[in-house]
Amino acid sequence: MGAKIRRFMSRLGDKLALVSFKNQWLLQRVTALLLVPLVVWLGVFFHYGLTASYPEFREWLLGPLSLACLFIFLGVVASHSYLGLKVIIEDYITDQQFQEQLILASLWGFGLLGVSVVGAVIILFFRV
Amino acid sequence: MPKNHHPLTPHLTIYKWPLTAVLSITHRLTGVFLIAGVFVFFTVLVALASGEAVFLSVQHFLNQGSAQIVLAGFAFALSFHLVHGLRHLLWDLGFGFEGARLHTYALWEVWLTLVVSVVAVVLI
Repeated sequence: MGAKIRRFMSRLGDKLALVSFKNQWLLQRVTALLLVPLVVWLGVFFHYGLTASYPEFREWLLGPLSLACLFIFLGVVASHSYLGLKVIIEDYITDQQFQEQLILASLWGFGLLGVSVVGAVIILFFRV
Repeated sequence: MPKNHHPLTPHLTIYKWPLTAVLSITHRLTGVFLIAGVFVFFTVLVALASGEAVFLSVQHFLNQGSAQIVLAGFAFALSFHLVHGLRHLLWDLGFGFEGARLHTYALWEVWLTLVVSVVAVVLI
């Protein structure tokens, strides 16, 4: 990659992406494609969330298909959001140090969100 | 503090924005807005894990008028982000770059977003 392009990218963000710039671009497209069918699942999630009773929603969410969609959605949406946010931060924040802090904070934020969702599902699974 | 030496953008208040530019910046704005939407999704999930009483109070809140307006906003943002994202994928494949038709394609995109938003709001 040219030195000119590299200068506009966050050094820390580049390391944290764990993949090359080209693969980040590709990963953003692949996650975008995966999110198209998952949006339908998200619509059903909110439909149940707004209208269903507690036992109905719980039973639907803990079904094998729905649970698989939940975990795939979680991984895909976190990756897509992180990569999108990283590009926005790199484009609009000129202060290198602040840029790296924001990218690190967003990485922690999405990581924490993922762990919390897994925790919530485990609690839900064992709740009688 | 070390700083990047980004080139300066043209004066945004001087040039008239073409529709394609408005849609491009809206794609970014809706992306950031949808991250807030992920936290609404997370709230519903945590409420469900917290038990029936908490879930019912969150459900009641989300069915209030003001919360419904915010949820409709998320539906619009998601519809726009989805439609514009699909257009990006078509651009990546080399389609849709005809200069004379860019504005027409942008208008199609706006109409499709409105249709998808209305369908999403009605179904949910």
